[in-house]
Amino acid sequence: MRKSTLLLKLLSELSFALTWLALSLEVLLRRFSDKSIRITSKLMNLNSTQSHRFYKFIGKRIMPDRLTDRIVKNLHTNDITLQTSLASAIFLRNAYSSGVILPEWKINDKITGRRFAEALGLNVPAVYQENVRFENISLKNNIVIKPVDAAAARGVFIIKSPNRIIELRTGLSFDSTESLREHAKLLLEQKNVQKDLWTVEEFIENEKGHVANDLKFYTFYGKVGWISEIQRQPIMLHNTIDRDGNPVDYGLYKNNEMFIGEGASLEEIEMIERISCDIPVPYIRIDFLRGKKGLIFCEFTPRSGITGTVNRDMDLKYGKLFYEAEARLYNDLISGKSFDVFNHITKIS
Amino acid sequence: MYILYILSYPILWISLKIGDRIMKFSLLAMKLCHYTALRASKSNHKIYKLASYHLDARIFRYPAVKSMISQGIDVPASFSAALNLRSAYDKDKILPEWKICNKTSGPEFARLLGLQLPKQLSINLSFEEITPVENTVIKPLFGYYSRGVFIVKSKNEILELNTGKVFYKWEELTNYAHSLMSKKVVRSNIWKVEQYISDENGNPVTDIKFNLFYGTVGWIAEIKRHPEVRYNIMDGVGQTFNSELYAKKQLFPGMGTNENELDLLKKISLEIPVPFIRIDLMRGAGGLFFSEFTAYPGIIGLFDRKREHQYGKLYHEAETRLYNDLIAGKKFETFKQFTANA
Repeated sequence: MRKSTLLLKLLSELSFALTWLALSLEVLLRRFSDKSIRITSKLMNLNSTQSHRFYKFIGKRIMPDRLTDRIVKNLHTNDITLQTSLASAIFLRNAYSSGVILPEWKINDKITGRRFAEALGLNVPAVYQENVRFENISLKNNIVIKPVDAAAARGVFIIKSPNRIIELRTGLSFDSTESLREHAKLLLEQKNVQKDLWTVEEFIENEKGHVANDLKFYTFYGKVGWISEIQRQPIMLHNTIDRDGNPVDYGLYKNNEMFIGEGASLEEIEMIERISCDIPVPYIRIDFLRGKKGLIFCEFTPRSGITGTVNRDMDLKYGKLFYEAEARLYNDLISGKSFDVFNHITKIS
Repeated sequence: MYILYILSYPILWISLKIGDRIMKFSLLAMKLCHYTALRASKSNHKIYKLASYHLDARIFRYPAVKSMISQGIDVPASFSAALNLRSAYDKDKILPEWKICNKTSGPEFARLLGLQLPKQLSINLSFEEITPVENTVIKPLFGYYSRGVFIVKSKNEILELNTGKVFYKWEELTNYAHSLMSKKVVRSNIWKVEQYISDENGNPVTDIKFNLFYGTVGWIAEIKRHPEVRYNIMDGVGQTFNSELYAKKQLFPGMGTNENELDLLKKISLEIPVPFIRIDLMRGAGGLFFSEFTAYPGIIGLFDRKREHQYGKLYHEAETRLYNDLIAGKKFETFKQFTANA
């Protein structure tokens, strides 16, 4: 089917018309239900015995862009929270940054990020080389080579010895440095890695000699929302838990893709919450490796790849955390909190 | 009434359920369309444009958002959603707008910002304590939509601003004010009396409300209240446009605004550390007079999608600018001075 352009074109036009029809129908229906909400809400003001049930229903079903001031006030008095979405909060924050570089992107850069983490007192892996071209990397045992602009572990190589080299994302192994060089060249040609600039770091391993597990903390200015633990070797497995260690269902992974991991201790969580208060953003993901000697900082991720893919319940729950975090942050900023470490590090970078 | 309610609730329930179903269907149709469009041609511009007009940002995945941005299509924003969420998740009311959006502290802050104010004659009175004085205005401290605002032209001629009702006896007005309070249109028996600002002919002034997004003017509403309520809605540069919110017969040409006023208000809005604020002014014989700050206007949730998006975009842009200024250490001296006094 993919080869027949005409058929595809037809199908595409047809489904476009269908989408258009469905969306227009929805707009019509929306107009109708908006009116009926307004009428019902007016009646509610006269007959308050039923009103809690009504507002509970509205609060659950209607997104805040369709709520009027009066309904919001009533929701508030009935102690019903508004629908939120973490994905839309993050998308909108990034879409309309009007020429300003948002603070989270200032520390997304690997070098600045590590400097900042160090200044906050986190353990960071030793760095052997920075911003070098692939041909200039001096290869030795137990190192990790990462592209400077890496995303989703693309182009990350672990060199345990010259004949034991693995690409982290794909699990491909290379038995000589020549084949590694060739593969890196290919990645650059295919634009899987954008720039020929690399960082060479200490290899962090766990007790079994495997690549250490990733621990990603989704933090909301002083609060850890949830934690994602990823085992990369021998096979890739996921463990997602909330702040209290209870499993969370993203709706992203199948049962056989999950495992019961170590999670994080309360001390670790509290330490990360303290640190997140030094970053002037409502939301950021802080990534660590669980090495033999504890948590080793990896990077700051402003907008993770799963944004917009988690299920509605998670999106709603953590959307709330986003807006609450934003209110706390605003208040701190206006009261004159100065974020000295952040400003110092981002200015010199 | 109860019967009406019994009827209206299931209708609403059904229509929302159907809406959900259609939504699911249209998302599916869109997925198919997106899939085929990606392969049929290089451009899927059309489908993104349609989707961004109709759907919420939460529907999309990041690659779609990225494509939209790269194709110059705006990510769907919503002004009402932004404001509703801002207020809803600020349970302890710690945000700065709460400090200036009331009828006692608002004028104090406006004075610090250099705005002209009507002379305040007395405040925190119960209605019984008020004695009618010529050319004064009686206002409730906790009211909205200009209900319960009375212009005392003389002891025997008192006008309610919002409705145009005229009272010829003080007792008549007292009874009326109490009825407003018992109906909760006016929320408590606390009032203030201030100087009456009139236009050149002694008639009630027109209101001019600037909707400001931290350094940018979003839109302006000019409202004439006498003899009938009429509106003139302008965009950020003062050009009148046809607002979907008012019928033709509710509109009037208005006096508009000018470059100097726009500049002044932009400058003032940069002194208030919030992404959105409405500043209500009166156009009196002696120029513009401050009336009040409004953070959450009653018009929220009534816009059509186009305006929702347009103002939503302004909101998010303002938020980022403000944020950036705050992190860079902008001091907001006037606001600070005001909160220190309060």
